[in-house]
Amino acid sequence: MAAAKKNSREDSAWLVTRARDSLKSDPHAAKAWLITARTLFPGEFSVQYEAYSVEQAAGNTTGAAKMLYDMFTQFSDETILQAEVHKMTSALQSDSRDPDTVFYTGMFESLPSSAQRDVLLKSAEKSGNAVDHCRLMLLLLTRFPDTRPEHGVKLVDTLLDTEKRESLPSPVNCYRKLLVCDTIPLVCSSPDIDVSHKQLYRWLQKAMEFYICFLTQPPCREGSKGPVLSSDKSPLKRQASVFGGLTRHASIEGLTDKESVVLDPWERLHELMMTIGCRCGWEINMASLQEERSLSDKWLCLKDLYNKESDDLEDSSQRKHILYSATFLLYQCVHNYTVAVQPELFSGSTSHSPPLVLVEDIRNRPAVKERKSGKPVKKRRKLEAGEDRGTSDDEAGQRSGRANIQMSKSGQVPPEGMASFRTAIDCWKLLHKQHVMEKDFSRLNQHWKTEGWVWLQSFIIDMLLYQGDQQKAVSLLEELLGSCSGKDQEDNRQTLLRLSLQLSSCQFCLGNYQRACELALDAIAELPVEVQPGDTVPSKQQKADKESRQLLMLSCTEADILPYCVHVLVTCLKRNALGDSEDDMSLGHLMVMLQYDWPSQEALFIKAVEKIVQQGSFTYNIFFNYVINIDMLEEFAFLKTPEGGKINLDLLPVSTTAISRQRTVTRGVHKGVKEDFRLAMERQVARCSEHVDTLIKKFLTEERDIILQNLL
Amino acid sequence: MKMPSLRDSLAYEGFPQATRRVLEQAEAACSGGGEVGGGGGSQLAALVEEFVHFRPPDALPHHTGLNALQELQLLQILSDYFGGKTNTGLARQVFMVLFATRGGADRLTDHKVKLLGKLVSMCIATQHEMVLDCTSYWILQEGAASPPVLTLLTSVIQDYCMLMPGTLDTLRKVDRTSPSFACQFVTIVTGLYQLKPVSSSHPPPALLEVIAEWVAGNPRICLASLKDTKGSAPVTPIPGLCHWCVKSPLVQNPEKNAPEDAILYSKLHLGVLQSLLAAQTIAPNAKLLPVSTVEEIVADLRALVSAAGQQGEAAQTAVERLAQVMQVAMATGCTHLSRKQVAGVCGQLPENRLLALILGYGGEG
Repeated sequence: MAAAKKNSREDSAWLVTRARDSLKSDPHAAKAWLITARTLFPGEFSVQYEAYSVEQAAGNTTGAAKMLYDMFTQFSDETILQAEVHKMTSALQSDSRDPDTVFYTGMFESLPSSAQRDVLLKSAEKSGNAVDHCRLMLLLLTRFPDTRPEHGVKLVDTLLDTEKRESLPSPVNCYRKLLVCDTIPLVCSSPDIDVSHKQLYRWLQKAMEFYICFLTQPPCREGSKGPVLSSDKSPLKRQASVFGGLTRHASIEGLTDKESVVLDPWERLHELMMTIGCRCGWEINMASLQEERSLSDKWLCLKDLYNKESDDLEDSSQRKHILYSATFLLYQCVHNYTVAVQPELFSGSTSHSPPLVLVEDIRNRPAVKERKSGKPVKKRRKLEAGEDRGTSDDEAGQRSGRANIQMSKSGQVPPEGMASFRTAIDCWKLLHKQHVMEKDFSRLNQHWKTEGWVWLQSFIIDMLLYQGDQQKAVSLLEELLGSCSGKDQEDNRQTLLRLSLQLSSCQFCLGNYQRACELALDAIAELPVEVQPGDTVPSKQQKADKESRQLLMLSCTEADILPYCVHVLVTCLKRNALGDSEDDMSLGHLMVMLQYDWPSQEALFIKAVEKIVQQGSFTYNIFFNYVINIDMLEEFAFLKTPEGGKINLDLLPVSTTAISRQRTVTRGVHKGVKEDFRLAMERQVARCSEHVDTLIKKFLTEERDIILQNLL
Repeated sequence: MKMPSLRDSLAYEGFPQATRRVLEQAEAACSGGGEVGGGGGSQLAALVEEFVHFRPPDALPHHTGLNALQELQLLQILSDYFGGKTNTGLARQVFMVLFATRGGADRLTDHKVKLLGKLVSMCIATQHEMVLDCTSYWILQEGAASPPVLTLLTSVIQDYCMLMPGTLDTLRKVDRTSPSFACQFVTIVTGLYQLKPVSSSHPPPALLEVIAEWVAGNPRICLASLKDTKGSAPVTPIPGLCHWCVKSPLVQNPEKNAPEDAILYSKLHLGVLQSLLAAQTIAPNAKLLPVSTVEEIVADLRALVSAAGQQGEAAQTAVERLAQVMQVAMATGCTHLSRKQVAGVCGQLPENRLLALILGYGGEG
C-alpha cells in the first residue's frame, strides 16, 4: 500500500513535470498532460493545483475559477488553496483595479451562483476572525438577497454578541459599524425576515447610538485616550496625525480606512429609522421620508405628529415614532449647534476660530443697587429671527423663558446654528411633556450613557441658561467642574474656561459675587496664551429690553473674556470699595481694573477719588505695580499737593508709615519719602504706554489671592 | 381532384408567388402530422420540383429554370421563410421536403445540392441559425459520408477557406450560431481530409485553425449532435479528430509549414480531451470512441512508425496523445474498452512511459 502510494506520488509528480516542461513551447500540451494526470490521480491536490496555476498564468478566469472551485469542494484544508480563496474574496471587497484584483474578481464572477454562495458561506464559516466572517457574510447577503432571511438575522445576532463579549469602550467600534451601517440595512431591506418589533427597536437604538457617537467623536490628540489609530510613535505617523488627525475621523480599529468611512451619517440614520419605522407600523408621512428638509419643516412635521397622537401615547408604535423622531431631531440639532459653537469637540469638524461660550449678560443686570442711567441707547441687533415659526399660543407661553442672545464680534454663530439650538430646545421640551415619553427618553439616554457626552452636557447648560434656570445650571456646572478638575490640565483648559465662565455668570446672577469673582479669576487663569493681544476695544454695552433676559455669546479669547471678567470683578469690588467701611485694598483693586476700557468708567474713578479725599488717607502698596493710567497718576499726584488736600498716600512698595517710623530720629524724613514718591511717579509715567490688557491679566493672575481675600 | 387546379393556379401565378405558396403547402402537409411520403406526398414533391426547383419531370429539354437574379430571389425567399419559423421540428421536415436526396438517389440531387450549397454559404454569412440547424439535420439524414453531403461541404469549404479567406471570421462564429451545424461540419471535414502523405488530404490551414478554435474553445461543440442521434450510434467528430491528432506528428503536410499546424493539432488534441470530460456530464456513457476507431488509429500509427522507421520524438508524441485520449476516455466512460483490452490493442506500439503508466494503472488500483 505504502509503496503504491509512493509510486503514484512519483508518477503524478512526473506528469506535473511533463506539463511544466511543455508549458512554454505548447501550453495546450501542458493542459492535456494535466487533464490526463487528473483522471489518473483524481485525489492528488498537486495535479489540480498545477492545472489551476496554468489557467491562472494564462489569465483564463473561467477555467481557473472552475478548477479553484473543484479544489475548494475537494481539498478544503489545503492552506495554499485557502490562501487563493482568500485572495478571491478579498478582491471582491477591493476597489483596486490592479490586474490581480481584476483577475480574482473575474474568477469569482465566472462561477455559477450556487458555487459563489458556497464559497462565501464556507469561507465565512471557516474564518476565525469575527470581522472577516462578517465581511464575507455581507458579500453573501449583498449578492444573494434570498439568503438574507436565513443568514441576515443570524449575522446581526453574531455581531451583537461579539460586541458584547469584547466589551469595547466605545460604540464606535468595528462590530457596531458593520452591524449598523452594513448589516442591518441589508437585512431590513428583505421583506421576508422574521423579526419582532422589540428586536427592531433594539437595532435602531444601536444604530442611533453608533451614528451619534461617530459624529461626535472627540478629536484624537497625541497621547490622549481617544480613538487613536495606532500606537506607532514613529515621527512620520506623528506628523500625519498632526496634519490630518484633527480634522479627519480616525479609522475604526479593526477596519480598513475605506470601511471606516461613513458617508452622510444623518441621512443614512434617517433612512434606517424610516425603514425600521415602516416595519414597526409607524404612520409615516411621505414628506418626512426625506432627510433633506429645512429644520423648521422637520420640527413642524414632528409637532403635527405629536399633536395628532398626544392624546394617546399609550399606543406604543406611535409613541415610539414620536420618541425616535424627536430624539433624532434633538441630537441632530445639538450636533449642528455644537459644530457652530465648539467645533473643536469633534474630530470631524475643522475650525480656525476659538470656541464660543454662552453666558448671562451681566452688564445690564442691576446686580448692585445703584442702577446707572444715561447710558447711550443703541439699537440692539435682534437675533431672534424666525421667532414665531409655528409657535402656537400655548407654546409661546411656554417659551416665555427664552432669552435674547447677543453675540460678540468674534462670537458670531451662523443663523443655522442658532436655529438648531432653538429647535433642539423645542425637541427637548416635547420629549419631556408627558411622563411616558420622558420615561422612554431617559431610558434611551441611560442605554447610551449620555451623561458622559460632553457636548450634550454643554448644550443642556446652554439650554438652562437660555431658559433662565440658573439654579439647575449651577448644580450641573458645579458637578461638571468637579469631574473636570481631577483631569489633566492641558487637555481641559478650554472646558475649564467655559465652565468657570458660565458658572461665574450664573453665580453672579444669583448674587453670589464672591464665588462669581473667584470663578472669573479661574477663567482668566485658563485663558489661552495669545501671541498678540487681541484688539482692545471691548464690545460696547448695549441696553436690553427690560422685559427679556439677555444672554451673551462670547468667543473664548482674551478679547472677549477679559472684559467680561473685568466687569464681574468691577461690579463686585465697587460694592466693597465704595461702601461705608474703609477698604483701601478694594478701592485700589477697583482703580486698577478701571484702567481697562478707560475712560468708560471714569465716573466710578471719580467716586473712588472722592472717597479717598473723604478718608484723608489711602494705602495701596502695589499701586506702582499696576496703575499706569496717566489720568489716574495725575490725579494722585494732585491729591498729594496742598491743593489736592494733602492726602496721606501710602503707595510705595514699602510702606511709608514704616519708613517714617524708622526715621523718627532724623529730621526731614518726610522729605526723603516725598522724594521717593516723586521718583516713583515719574517712573510710572514712563510706563503709561504699556498694554493695559497684559497688565490687567497679570494683575488678575498674580494678585489672585489678595483679590480673593479682600472679597471675603 | 383538387391538386390539378392548385397546380394550374400556381402555374398561373408563377415565380415568386407560386414558390411561397408551395412552401405553405409543404408546411401544411408536414404539420398535418402525416408522413410526407404518401400519395399526397408525391403530389407535394411534384409541386416542389416544379415551383421551388423549377425542374418539373415533364420539362422540355431547353427548359432552364430560374435565371441568376431569380435564383438569388429564391434564396432570399427560403432564408426568410426559415428565419420566420420557431418550431424546429416542423422546419426540419419542410427542409427535408425541399432538399432530401435519399443519399443521392433523387433525380434532382445535383441541382438540390448546388442550390443548398448556395443557401448554406449565404446563411453562414448571415449567421442564419435555423437554416444551419436544418442543414445539420439534413446531413445526418443523408449520411455523413454520402456523396451529396461531401459535395455540399466541399463547396462550403471552397467558398470560405479557399476563395475568400477574408470571410473566415463569419465561419468562425458559426459554432455559436449553430453548434449542431459546426459539429456536423467538423465530422465531415475529418472524413474529407485523412492526413495521407499527399497535400490534398491535409485540411487547409485556415480551416484547421477554425476547427481548432471551435473544438478547444467550446468542448460542447463535439457533442452538439448527440441529441439528434439518440438511440443510434453517436455521430461525433471525436473519432475523426482522434485520427488527426494522433497521426499528425508523423504525417507532414508536404506543402505547408509544420510548426504552425503542430500547435493547432495540439490545441485540437486538448479540445478532444476537454470534450471527453464534458461528455461525462452532458452525455454520460455515450461511447464516443468506438473500438473500431481505436483499432484503426493503432493500425495506422504502427504503419506510419514502421514505414518511416520513426522512433523519435514525433512517434513518442503520437503515442502519448493516443495514451492520453485512451486514459481520459476510459476515465470518463467514453469507450467500451477496458484497460486490459487497450493493452491488447496497443501492444505493438513504441515503448512509452505514459502508455506504460496508463496500462499499468489498473493493476494497482
